[in-house]
Amino acid sequence: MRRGEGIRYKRGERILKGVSLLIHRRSVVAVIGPNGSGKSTLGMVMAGLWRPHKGFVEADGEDPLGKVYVAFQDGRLLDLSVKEYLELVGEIDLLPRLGVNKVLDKKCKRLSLGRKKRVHLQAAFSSRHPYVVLDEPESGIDSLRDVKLTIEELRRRKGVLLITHEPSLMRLADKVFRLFNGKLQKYEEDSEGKDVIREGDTLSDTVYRGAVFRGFRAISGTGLP
Amino acid sequence: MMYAMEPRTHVFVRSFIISLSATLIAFSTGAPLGFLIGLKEFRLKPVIVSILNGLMGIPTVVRGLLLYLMFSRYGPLGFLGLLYTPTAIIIGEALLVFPIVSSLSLSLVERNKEVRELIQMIGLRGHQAYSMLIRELRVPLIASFFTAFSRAITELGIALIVGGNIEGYTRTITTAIALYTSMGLIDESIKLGLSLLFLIFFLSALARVLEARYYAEGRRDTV
Repeated sequence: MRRGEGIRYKRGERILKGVSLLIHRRSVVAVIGPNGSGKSTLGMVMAGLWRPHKGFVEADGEDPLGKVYVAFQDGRLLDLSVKEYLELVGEIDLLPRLGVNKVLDKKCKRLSLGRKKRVHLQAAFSSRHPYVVLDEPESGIDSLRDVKLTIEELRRRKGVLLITHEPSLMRLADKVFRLFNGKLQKYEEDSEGKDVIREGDTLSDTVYRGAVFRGFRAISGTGLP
Repeated sequence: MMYAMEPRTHVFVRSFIISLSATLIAFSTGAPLGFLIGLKEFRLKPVIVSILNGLMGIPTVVRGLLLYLMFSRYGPLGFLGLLYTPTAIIIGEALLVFPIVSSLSLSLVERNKEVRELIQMIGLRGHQAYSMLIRELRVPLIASFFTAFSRAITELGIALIVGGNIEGYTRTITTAIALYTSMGLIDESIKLGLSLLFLIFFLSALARVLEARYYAEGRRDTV
């Protein structure tokens, strides 16, 4: 990857620089980082909603739109009843823990933020999308345990990109990356619980072998590694 | 008074029907155009947006004059025989509110990027995506309909020039007010003017309430 090339959006403002990420099915990849570091941007790009200026995004070798469910941070939902919404995105296969069964007949717009985000978690689980972006799922939801158990359920059937600030959610992930200054860094903790950050480890996870990945990924820049 | 005037209600109803038809025509073409421009990204987009905005600024008397030249007997559309008919007013008013409707729906789509993203994310395409978007934006769309209708019914230049203010045929509220005032029938003018004012206040209040409710609902729990 050449330097100076990156995923850009909004009038040349560079947010992601040479970020490459691959997420396999049945795995959870967490991305952490300070406010404004581009975590949510990465989520939007991975879902195909925001187009990178350079590079590409794909899910199982295809356009990610409609294949990646995004549980939006702001809890936005359509003006439908919860039941109608769940039917629109997939089937009704309720996780009792999320308590969505109590609000099935209510209008999505009338729900509180916490409830909306629970509906998103439920929809992420029961939708037909094989991949999921969870953008700060813990914010607004009163029970961290419910979020954790849902992520565990999601891992069994989907590929998950988890954007979070919450250390206990990070620990659920198979891999943790830190997004800093538009670059992905590998993030680990040593035996004493201190942060260890290594640069440039992410590319090894995204080496292109010419085959169609069973995963979703974004590679910025023009050349393939 | 020697002269029997056409009843106010007739003028009112005629105006209403003419402006409603014009708004419906403009809406059924302008709103889809606005949606289309709002949803697509292309190089000439800023140009088209400024043309639409520029079109809104043309004075109605100039529009009326242009249409008069088109519709007059020896004009390019003279053979249609539309001059001094309600149809001519409908066409003129539709052309007047068309850019208003398309700019309003254009900015509506752009303001509601979140809804678009949500629909795309779910994977709805084409027809399904459009109808879901219209469903989501129905309340502000209705509000913009009222705004456009208010503009059409309060317009004078076009109705006067291409309508001809013919009693019992093309006389509208605004042309009636213009005529009665110049005839010194101030009483009648004031009555018509007040009823028009009430109608406009009512419609614009309704439009604002609808919009306010729509945007307040979206924000309700996210603050």
